[in-house]
Amino acid sequence: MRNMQTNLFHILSVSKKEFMEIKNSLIKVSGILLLSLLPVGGVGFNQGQNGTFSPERNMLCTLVFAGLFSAIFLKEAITREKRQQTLEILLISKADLSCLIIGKILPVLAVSILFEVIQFSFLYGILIYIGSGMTSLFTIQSLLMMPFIYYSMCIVVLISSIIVNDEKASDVIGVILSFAVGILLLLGVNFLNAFVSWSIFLISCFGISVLNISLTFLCKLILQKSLLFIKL
Amino acid sequence: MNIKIDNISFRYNKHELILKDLSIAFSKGQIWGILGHNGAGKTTLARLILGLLPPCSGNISFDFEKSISYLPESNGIYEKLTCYENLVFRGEIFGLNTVASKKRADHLLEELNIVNKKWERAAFLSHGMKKRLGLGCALMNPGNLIILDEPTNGLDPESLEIVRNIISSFKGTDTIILIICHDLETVQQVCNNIVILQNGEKIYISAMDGDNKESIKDIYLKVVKGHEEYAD
Repeated sequence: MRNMQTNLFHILSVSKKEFMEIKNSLIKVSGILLLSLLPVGGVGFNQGQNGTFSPERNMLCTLVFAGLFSAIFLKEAITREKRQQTLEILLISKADLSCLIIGKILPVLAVSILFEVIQFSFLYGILIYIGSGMTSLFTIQSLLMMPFIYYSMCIVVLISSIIVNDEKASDVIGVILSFAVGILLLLGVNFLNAFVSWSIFLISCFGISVLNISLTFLCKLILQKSLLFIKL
Repeated sequence: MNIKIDNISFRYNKHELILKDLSIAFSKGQIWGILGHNGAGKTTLARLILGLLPPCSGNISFDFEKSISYLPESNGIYEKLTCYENLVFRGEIFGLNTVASKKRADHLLEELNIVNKKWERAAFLSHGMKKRLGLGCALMNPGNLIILDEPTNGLDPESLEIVRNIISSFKGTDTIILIICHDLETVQQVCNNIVILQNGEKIYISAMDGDNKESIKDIYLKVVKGHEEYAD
């Protein structure tokens, strides 16, 4: 019980610290939000006609842009910690590595969910404005599913920023990987009809949660060995 | 309270050995100056003692439960956070609760004479102020093993005096202090033992007590030069 309280306290401490860092980058955050609305608006006005997938899937894919916020902020997280030598401090601290990882992800996940709701409303508004019948595509399940997918996107970015030493390479690899994971998971659950049937939705959430827990443990293992990757 | 380092060697992957068969014993109440050229293996030794890296061979043993205060070379502070936020966060992840952490942060801000910078972001501080803040963060955890990597590098006389006084205040306490330093004057003033490393090997070790009247600068130059000539 005491252990759990301590872990929770450490998660909150790290989250608070990460949130303060995000708060101190308000201009960057607002810029990313505005930028992420551009493709959403474009896809909405042409009803998903010009894209890789079917129109409805093209529109769904725009929800992944909110998750990219997490990627853009997290991609630098560990690399920055390496540069500032704060990673060493975190590794010798009393906080469990899983708490550090979860604490890092939670604040960006919260902002991503806020972005998601804004994007969702924006796209929905456009579809109603142009009189499209495709609004039925946006169900409560699709809204609830996204945070699970965003977490996967976050953890993939964290792993890539631990492994890749070069900051610029880590930026590119992190964003591409994260985007790919987001699209794959979103299309996968859409293919299974998880946004229509509640039972498939719940099974999909469970499946992605198992994936996320496994990735968190993998990230923890890599983080433990991370100093061996750092060039002196 | 001792740290015993027995014949440790270390290399990153298949690179050449950074530490070669090194043996040293550190005891409580002592302030050790660890000297050597760049690349001599000083920081790697610190990381091995911290438990951040595993030795390739040999053993490091502690006959006490270690609680570490660590100042890395680049200060280990979060540039986007204020001085106060940096200190409080460090306290929290090293086991203090929020109230105790805030109290200690206020105390250290006064001791380090940076109270007027309490709400200033670390990124906007001068080099000397950042170093003081880094030392403050390290001391947020009142550990029994204090490792300071270049604590006086590039400091102005006022900051130098403050840092030296704080380090000296640990003399004779139940603490082991290891200072990795190029500033021989500081080592002369605050350390009572020195060890000189070169190319991963220990080439000199001695107590700097009353009997040893030679200046550290003379010892250092003589030992390092003598070793280089011998190696040639």
